Amino acid sequence: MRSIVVIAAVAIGLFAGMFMMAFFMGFVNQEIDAAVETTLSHVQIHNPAFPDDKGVSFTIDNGLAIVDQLRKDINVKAVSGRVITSAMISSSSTAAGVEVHGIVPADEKNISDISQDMSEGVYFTEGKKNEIVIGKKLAEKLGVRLHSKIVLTFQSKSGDLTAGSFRIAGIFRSRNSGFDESTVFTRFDDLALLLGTGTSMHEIAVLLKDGKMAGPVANELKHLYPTLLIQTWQELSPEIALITGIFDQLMYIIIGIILLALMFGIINTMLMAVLERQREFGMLMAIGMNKRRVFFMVLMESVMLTCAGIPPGILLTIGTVEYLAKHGIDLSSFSKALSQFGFSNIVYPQLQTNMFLPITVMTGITAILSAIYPAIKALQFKPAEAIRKI
Amino acid sequence: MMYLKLAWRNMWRSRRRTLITVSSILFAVIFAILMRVMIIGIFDNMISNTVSMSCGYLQVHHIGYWENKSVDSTFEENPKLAAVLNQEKEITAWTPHLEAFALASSGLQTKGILVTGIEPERENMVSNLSQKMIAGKYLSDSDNGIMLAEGLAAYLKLKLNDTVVLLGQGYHGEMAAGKYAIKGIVRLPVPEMNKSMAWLPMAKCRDFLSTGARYTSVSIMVDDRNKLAGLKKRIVSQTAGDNYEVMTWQEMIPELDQLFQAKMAQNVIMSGVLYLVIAFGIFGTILMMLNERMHEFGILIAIGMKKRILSGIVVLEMVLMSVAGTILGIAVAFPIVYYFWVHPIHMGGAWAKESEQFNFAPIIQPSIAVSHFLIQGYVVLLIAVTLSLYAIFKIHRIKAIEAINS
Repeated sequence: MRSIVVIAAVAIGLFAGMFMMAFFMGFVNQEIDAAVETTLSHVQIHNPAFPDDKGVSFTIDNGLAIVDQLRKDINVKAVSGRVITSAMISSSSTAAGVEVHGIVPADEKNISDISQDMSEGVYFTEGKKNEIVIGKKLAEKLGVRLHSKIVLTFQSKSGDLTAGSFRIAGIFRSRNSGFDESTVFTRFDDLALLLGTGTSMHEIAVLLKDGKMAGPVANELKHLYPTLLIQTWQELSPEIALITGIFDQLMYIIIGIILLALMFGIINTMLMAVLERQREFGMLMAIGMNKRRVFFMVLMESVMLTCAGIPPGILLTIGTVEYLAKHGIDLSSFSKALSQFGFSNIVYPQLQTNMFLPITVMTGITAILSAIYPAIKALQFKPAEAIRKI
Repeated sequence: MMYLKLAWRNMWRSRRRTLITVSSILFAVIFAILMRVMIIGIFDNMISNTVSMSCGYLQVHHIGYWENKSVDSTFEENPKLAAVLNQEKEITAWTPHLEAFALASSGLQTKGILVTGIEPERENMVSNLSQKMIAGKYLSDSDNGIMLAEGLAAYLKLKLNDTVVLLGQGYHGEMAAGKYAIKGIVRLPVPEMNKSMAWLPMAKCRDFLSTGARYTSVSIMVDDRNKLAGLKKRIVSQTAGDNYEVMTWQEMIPELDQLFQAKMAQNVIMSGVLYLVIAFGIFGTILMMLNERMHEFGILIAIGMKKRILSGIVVLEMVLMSVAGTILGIAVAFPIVYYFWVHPIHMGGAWAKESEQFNFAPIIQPSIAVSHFLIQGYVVLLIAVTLSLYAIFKIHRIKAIEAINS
């Protein structure tokens, strides 16, 4: 019975550590994905003068060629070239400053999931001209609805003030209401025509198959195009990198606390077990087992129990994570406040197989260390008294 | 009463056994508390750092200002409001702002920026602006100059003591124009902000915008962010009729709130895992204790004690030990947490590097809100008492003769 308890404790401890890790990984990746897949993408390319000024003339040389080249890159999942300008958007009641993204819907759909966050209307329909997609917050501010007409006013490449009338084809709602209020989407061609920029583009966004390759891919691109500004998502949005960085280290601390709790649990159980066997130890010592051997016996029992506990722990972890990786843990069921935001917050824990070993080792060491104190206690029994204990 | 006496005596019959059981609960409580206060402390810090640089925990402004930030949506400087804010003990600092969109020009370049009129001393208490300076001197109330964000100064190709021209639209459509010498340069961690912000002393800003004694907003920092709702109500009721709107940070930056709600939900799962481990630790102890006393139980039952009463006494013992363990756990945890509250833990590595870019101190400062101690203690107590009910099950299954021989 006691063996089963210790084995179970070790298994649970192992499960706890690994599950936490998987959960954290899943969560952090979800955070990153949320930002990357809506606005940031993994890597962005600009003309170096563009980010400061967003001037119409600061386009990327050979933009089209670069986009084609990137599509062929094995690391790249999707590429989208955009023409961007700041503009004033006006409805019949008010006006506001926005950033207009002229996009190619087919490309943009692959790189940003704004197209899936449509709360009304359709993203873009083939063949229709001068459609615009705006955020819900902006629609409210301007007092417009689906199919309303708005006017975009901006400065063209030649320096003239130009305006175009667009019809609202769709309204989107993302996690970031600031983004909803300040960004609008039109067709690349429609905007380029008004700006007079032809096929030139201001921004190339790249989505990679593996987000961790952002750094290396960016470096590679810097070599290929030394005149352009190439930034990873971390450089574009250091706040996200900050939060994820903090939680990385936090994870280790949390796991540390869990292992400590495990250690105390095992110490107590082993201690009780040793006390329970006082008579047995007394007998052994009385018939001549020396103290060193008793100590090692207790320790060895601990080692074996730990080893027995590891496989069930691993199995439990794999089983749980596999199941949850498919169904996800719906965080909003744990937090009423979260569900009112209306976005599903489902975390898919992800197993990190390279973490198996360190955590198993840590759990094993914890279990064995916990046995030391009880083993020492066992040595303190006086054989003569111990035999008489009931 | 007899049962209580019996339970009490049983406990002290084997000091060692009682001590071990109590200590398993004690440590469980300590760990549960430590993890909770640490995480909450980190959250509190994050929120505090973020809102101190932007909107404050609470903000007072003219009705409609947040939706439509225009210079015309300002409110008069009001000694009554100042008195109300100064009186509130919850408020640790407050600072007024006069903000407007303007064009900044250096002759070579022009850029749209956000210019903010500040009261330097107050501003510093809220956002630590002076710590973020990288060149020049922090503004004083009577200064004539302007402070620019690093990225903005670089874009305009300006240095300290150069002149920058500001153009904009002032109150009620008045033309706003002014020329200012750059007295200081500030580095902000968020690139967007670093490229577009400038600060003027309040008096100069008012001249620029021709607003007279008006503000666009007053940002407020508080001691305990859980008391915001009450504070907001009090401010609203005491300034009724002044056309103010008081908004909490959750209303102003809902994205931040959502992020933290998500982290809190995540915390529920993490705590759950910890409780699981704790439960096992406690259960192991209980199991062993029952095993050890099988002989004793067997004899008692053999001589006629009803199982019902025996299990009642045993559960009573465990409840007493659990309560003792919980109370002691809270008592021991408090000085530890308090110590780290006064001397926060400094983190190294990637955390430190990232945080310092943001001018956030890379520390873990646990929360010392008493509610955490009590709640965690209560949860562990609940776990312990529930597990001790296992004793009833075990005792019920005792066959006297086997038990006596164990």
